[in-house]
Amino acid sequence: MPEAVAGAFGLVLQFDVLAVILMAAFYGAFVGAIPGLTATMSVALLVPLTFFMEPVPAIAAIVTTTATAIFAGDIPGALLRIPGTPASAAYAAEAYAMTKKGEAQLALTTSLVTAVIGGLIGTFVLMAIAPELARFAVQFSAVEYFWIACIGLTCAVLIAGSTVVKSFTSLLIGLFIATIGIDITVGYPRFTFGSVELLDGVSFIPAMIGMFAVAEILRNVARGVGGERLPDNPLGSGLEGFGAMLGRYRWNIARGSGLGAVVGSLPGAGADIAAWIAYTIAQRFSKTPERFGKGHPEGIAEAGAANNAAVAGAWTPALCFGIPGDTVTAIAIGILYLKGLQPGPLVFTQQPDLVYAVFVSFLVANLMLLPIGLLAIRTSSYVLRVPQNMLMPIILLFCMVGSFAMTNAVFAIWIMLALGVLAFFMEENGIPVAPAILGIVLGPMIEDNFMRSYMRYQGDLSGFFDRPIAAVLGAVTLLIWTALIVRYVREATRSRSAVPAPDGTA
Amino acid sequence: MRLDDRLLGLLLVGFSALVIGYAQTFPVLGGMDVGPALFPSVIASFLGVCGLAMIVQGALRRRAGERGPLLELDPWARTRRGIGSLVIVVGAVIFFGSTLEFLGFHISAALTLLVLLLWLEVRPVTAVLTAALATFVTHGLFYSQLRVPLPWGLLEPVAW
Repeated sequence: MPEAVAGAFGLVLQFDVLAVILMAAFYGAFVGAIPGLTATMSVALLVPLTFFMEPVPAIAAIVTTTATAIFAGDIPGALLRIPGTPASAAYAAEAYAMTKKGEAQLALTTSLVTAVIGGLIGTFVLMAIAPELARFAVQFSAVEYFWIACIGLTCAVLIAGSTVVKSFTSLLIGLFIATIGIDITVGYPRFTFGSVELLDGVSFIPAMIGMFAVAEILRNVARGVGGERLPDNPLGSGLEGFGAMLGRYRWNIARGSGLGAVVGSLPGAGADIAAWIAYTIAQRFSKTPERFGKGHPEGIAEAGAANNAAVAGAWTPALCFGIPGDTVTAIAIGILYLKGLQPGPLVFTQQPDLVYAVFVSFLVANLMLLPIGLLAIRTSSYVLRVPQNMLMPIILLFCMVGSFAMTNAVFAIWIMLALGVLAFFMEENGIPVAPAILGIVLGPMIEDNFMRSYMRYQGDLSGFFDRPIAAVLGAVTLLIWTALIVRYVREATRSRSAVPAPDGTA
Repeated sequence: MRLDDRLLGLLLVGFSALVIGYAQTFPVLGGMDVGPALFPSVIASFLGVCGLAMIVQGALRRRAGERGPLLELDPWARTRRGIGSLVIVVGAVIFFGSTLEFLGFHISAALTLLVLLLWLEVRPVTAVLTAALATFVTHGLFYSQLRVPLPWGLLEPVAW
């Protein structure tokens, strides 16, 4: 579709859209570089602003913010050993070891350049796969969508990184929250207890801001903020041997990028998981595995490419099926819904320029990441000195005003607060938040498709396996569920053996 | 503030029973045996299963000789400062939400910010300046640029 591509370039390469991208890049670099403020939080805070934009700049802003924030998370990881975003956690210790040897600039430039390469490769993979997948998905009916959503949700449980039961609990909490409000079959108000404001359900944006931003503020203030000391002359020496090093690790970068794009496209697995896997693989296949952890850039190159490639990969299921690949795309899908667009295969035929605009935004964002990332590295010692105790209250005000702005009603602030406290309590108890978000986004879609199929087959559940694709998808779902049960039993029996759990009580 | 798995499981089972019980009062679809109650009931029963699984896991661990308190407090939760920070932030949101329409955005926001900044040990002069600046910048962005009707409240006479 060359005309759609040209149209997309036309949509993105406009002064106002480029200005939005530039501002989003600075914003993402700043928020990502502050320890404790994640890339997801930066997007959640951005949502109220994107609500007032056209779809293309809104998407461009989200894409750019994520790409820069994921890279910028490496900066405090390298200089303070505190990853700015979870995606940097995999190699924060390694980068910090390089800082101690006076090679911080080398470490950060490595992760920047590999981030740009990874981001671009991830985008090309997305551009190649997504349209094909969408062409296939056009044949889907309500049953297939029901199963796809089930697979998406269970994948989120599978990879959430907590115990099976706790991840599942999180998902179910999200699905339950999604049932609040008028039901789709007969219009009966569920769990509203007479509240008019709840008839439309728990509005998505205040929920998002609460779970990602408010919960993080609560965590930051409870633990106490600030107090980290930067080393003197943190950036260390220059960049000798940088080019040669990149050449040496070209296969690491390629492998990390490919891996990131694939892992990112799995529903629920985002940049952080991609980085962990890439770092582990880099070490396993390295010629010098013993140097890992002591300030060796090989793992940084591979994992740094992987996490930015995953950012693009996460958009594959989001665009093709409307199933978020990570928390950021969950937010993006929520925004598209609010704008009256339904992500899914039909977008590719009905609004191809929107899809290509996502691709072009990724290309522009990743190219812009290079100069802005270099600037962020140069100014990092100033950004890291921004006092967090002044930032937290301002961010909280933004959260409250942003929630209010969606419906112009104070009720949104209560939703934000309630879900923020809920998310804080969940994470304190080892229940991850990401599956709950996917549950909130996908809940209505699952129920809608289930009820429609159920009525079509008049309550005969075998109808869910009638069509060939549906049967395969259903079988895959049941298979994953079996795997989850097996894992639960393993977890339960492992704790029965007298060996204490790794961290004592957890 | 970590609950023992058995306690957390019990909480989930109780919640699930409440939801299932309440969902039985929902109407059913004409001519069908299901309706709005189906989905919440299914979700709640799965939640109940998760709760039971947590209880089992906790009990198994207990039998294996692992001893932990029913409610485990992180270091921050034992200090007055950590708990106080939580209470202050939650209180600040409640204050802002409930006074926004009466006091108006400027007064509510500035007071909220000031209290939080002072609690987080920002120096008083800096706190006052930050609160004022952040209030006006936020108002400029959301009210003037994005046309969000932030209430004026008491300041209605001087609204711009």
